[in-house]
Amino acid sequence: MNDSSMRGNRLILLSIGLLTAAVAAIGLTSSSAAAGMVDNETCLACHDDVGDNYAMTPHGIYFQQRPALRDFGCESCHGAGLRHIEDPTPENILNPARSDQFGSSILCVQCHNGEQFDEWEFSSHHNADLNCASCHTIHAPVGQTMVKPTPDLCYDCHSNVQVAMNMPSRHPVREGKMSCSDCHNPHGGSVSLTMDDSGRELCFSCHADKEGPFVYEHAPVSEDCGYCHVPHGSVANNLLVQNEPTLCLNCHSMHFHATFYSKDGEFAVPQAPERASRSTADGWKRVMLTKCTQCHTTVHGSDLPSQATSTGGNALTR
Amino acid sequence: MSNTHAIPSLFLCLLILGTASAAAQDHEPRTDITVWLGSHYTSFDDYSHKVGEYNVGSNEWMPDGSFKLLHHGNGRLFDAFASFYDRRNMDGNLGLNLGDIVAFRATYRSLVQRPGQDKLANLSAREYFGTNDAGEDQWGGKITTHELQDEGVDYEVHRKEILTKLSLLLARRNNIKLEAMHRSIFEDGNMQGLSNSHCFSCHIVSEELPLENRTHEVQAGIQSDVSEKVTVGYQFGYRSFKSNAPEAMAYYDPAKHPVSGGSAEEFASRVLFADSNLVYNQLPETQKMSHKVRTRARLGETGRLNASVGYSSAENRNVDLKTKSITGATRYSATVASNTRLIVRAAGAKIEADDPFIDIRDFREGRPSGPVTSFDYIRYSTLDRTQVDVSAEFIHRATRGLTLSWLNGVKVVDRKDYPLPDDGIRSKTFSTQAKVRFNKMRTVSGWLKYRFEKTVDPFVSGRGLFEARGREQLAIAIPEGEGASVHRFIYYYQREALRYQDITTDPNDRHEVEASATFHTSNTSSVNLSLRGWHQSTSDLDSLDVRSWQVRPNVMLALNPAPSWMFTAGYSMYMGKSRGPITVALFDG
Amino acid sequence: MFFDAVSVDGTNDSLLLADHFGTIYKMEDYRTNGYQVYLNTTWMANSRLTLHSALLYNWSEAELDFVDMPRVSDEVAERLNHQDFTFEKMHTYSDLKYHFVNLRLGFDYQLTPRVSWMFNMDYSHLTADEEYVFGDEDGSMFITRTGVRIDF
Repeated sequence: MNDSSMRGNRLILLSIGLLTAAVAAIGLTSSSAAAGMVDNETCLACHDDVGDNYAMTPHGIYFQQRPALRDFGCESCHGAGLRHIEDPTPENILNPARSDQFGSSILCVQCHNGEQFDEWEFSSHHNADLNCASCHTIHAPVGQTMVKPTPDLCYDCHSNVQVAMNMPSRHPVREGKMSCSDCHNPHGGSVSLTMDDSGRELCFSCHADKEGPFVYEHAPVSEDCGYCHVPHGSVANNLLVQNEPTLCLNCHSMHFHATFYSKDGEFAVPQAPERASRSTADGWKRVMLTKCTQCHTTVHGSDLPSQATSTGGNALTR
Repeated sequence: MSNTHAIPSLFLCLLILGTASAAAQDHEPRTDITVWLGSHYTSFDDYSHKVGEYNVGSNEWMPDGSFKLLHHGNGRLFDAFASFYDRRNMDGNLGLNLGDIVAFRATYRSLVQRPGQDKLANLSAREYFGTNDAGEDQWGGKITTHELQDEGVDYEVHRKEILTKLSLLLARRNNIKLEAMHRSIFEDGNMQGLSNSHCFSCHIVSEELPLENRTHEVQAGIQSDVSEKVTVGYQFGYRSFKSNAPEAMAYYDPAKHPVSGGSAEEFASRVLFADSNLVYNQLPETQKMSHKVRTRARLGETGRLNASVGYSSAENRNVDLKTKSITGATRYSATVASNTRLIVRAAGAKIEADDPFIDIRDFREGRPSGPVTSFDYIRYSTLDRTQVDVSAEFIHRATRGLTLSWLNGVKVVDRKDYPLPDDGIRSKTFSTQAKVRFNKMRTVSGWLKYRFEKTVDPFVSGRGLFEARGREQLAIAIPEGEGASVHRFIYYYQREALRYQDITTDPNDRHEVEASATFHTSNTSSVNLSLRGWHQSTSDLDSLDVRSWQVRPNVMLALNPAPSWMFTAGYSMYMGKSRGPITVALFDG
Repeated sequence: MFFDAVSVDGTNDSLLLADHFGTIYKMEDYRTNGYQVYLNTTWMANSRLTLHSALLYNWSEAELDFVDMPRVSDEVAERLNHQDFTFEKMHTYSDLKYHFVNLRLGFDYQLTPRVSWMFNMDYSHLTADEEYVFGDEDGSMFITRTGVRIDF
């Protein structure tokens, strides 16, 4: 094991030990000196930029409530500071902001250990050597703990998504009505950091009316919403991969009705004169090859049979 | 009180209570309050539903405002935010933290989406045979017409969401923690309802339908450290969906020839309903329940193991249909050699869906001659499946600024009940991925990734794609000898039997490339170049050249020429092409 | 629902209402193209005044190529003489082409250490060069917002 890895593990163990000891011990001051610890005041004497806001940071507020940690908040994350005081070089103090997947990137999840952080060590962010400080300003006052607001923070690395989010059809992220974290857990999830391993499950958490189960199914809905939709943005309405009818024609033959001749001009409907209308020369093609969901309205599934017996009621028109 | 008013009112009460509570604390409290008092003016020209899909407004100055409060002291933190833009765009947020014992957050948000109205203008045509010898138009019997009963209606969906989360430390010993979440989504407004009669009168009717969807979700879980290195937890989930909108009814035309008005019995014998007022656009009432047991453990010095087992069931209460699934997942990571991590992921699921028997009236039931065909069948679900997904990834830090990773995986989806000629379909996807990350301090950093996926037997639509001449021949549906006046048909449905069921447009091969490089040109400027692209093709097919690709290059410049000036600019492109079949049957129906 | 393939034939088809010739198909390309330019700048003119602006232009299109179906044989053309198997206008029914421009201008002026005056203008214009089922989607939106922020 190389030095950085060893150092990382030592620091993690040290941190755990520090926290445990801090909770257990009253009158920590006397024993802390032996452990190489100093108090907050000593740290903030030099790091006055941190000191300005320390009491207003989430950590500062939290440590205020824990008497055993109140005076040693800095070292709860940075480890014992005495050596750094004696020789104030960066190498002599643990800096979580410089950690990576081979070091102490997991330091924060020692305390932030709810379920949403379960997958951090398997996440693509962790594996890309990002750490908590990549997105969070640890020493900023509460309410200002993101490096910058989302989605701009996310776009810094995921610029291709930014492009998609400005396309004609999109989720309302640009309008500030959704954020990336509505679908993605930046602290870990599946490989694409989505909140659920299955893309279907994620989509159905908001679009529950599409889940079913239905009597009459449309196979791709059971497979993956991504067959027909792109989540971030598309040119076609409803986040469709392609506009209708091309998307549908990838799997379905077109209606043979599209081959009928028509005529440019008015036509009558003998049994329903009030429905007399106007056609174009390619009227049947325009009818059948513009938008399939004008008739197949329930493409996500339906419990109601469609009209034609010969389709087994499964034409998803009702 | 309607939900529209009840939820903001609830928030207001909580806000007042929280503020009072915060003010009552006496341990070095600090309270920051920010108030915004403003107004806005919105104007639209021409069509507003596309450019302002998520915006509403009126041509007058409207008040808006927001209130933000942050209070902390003695380890307690209370924050509140409320914003009013208009009555359909309001947001609220309340948070309370009592040390590490209680963390509570409630969020309310609302938005409007304004989908456009489909004018159905393309749905007008009548079959035309040309002119007869006398020069008269010869019209055919196939007619499509449409009717807008909702002319000029502005469609709008008002979506409101309330989300509450609670984390409660029950016992510091063993870190026993309760986590609970509740979410409700209310969608109100109107939507465009489309109903259609067909065969004998292809007529599409558009009308305004009320929309009132309700989704409620609850999750509750508990976790505990059973030892210094092992945490276990249990989570229960419940979600329900229901539409409270009144049933939408549509009239389906009488069955008869659209030109002559005759053949009523023959037409009626080929459809499941006609000359009726029937429900359409019915949304299901569903509920879903899940149970999950999970554990995470530290193994050895660097090992980390996460595992979970879950069971869930989803039910459509309108029709008493269920799906059940058992899932399991495990992930393991460890530093296995110098500067080398191994990550193994494995997940499996078994999903069983009810397969209802579709019992419908016979085709041409009661007709005096010709075939009476039963179209009864069992609807097998493609959701019925067993799937396994396993991968292993090595990440190696070669030098301080260079990290390499390599991933291999396989995913098998066995849709054993899916009705294909070869007894279901088992898709296997093999993937391999290589990635290089580099970071030359203060000069350039970035990464390059290549991924390849090979899928054997990708998903195939059970209804087949298209037919080819000469593959088989069709039987004539009405045998000879029934008299010259009886037409002998080849029905369109018969042709479905001849469709290829082993052709897919799903890819067999997929190549994916991603690259990104950020050049830190100076202390005040940087340039990012990135590229993402993929190419996929369906190589199993000899006759079809199904393929698609996409490329997205991007350049971004960030400049801080002076401490007081920040400037960013970007240019992005996306180019994509997919090649797929456009097919039509040669058929005189 | 599936049927066993049927193979009975050889009958006199003089009264056959429908003929079965199989399917014609053509592999066609569907293209999605676009580009986007954006410029954002924030300038703190002095300790009290901050100006900001953003410009976004997005052009995107999605289109089916001209559908050039193979010609049907004379035999088919004769037997199915009420049908037209050419689709030369098909690509015009559902092509999409949008231009979108958004300009945001605003300033934040600190009146006192605790009171700021903010003003923002947001102008968007969308042009749809290809009409789809919604008709002419060209439109513009202009939002002006102003107010004061007070820190207590």
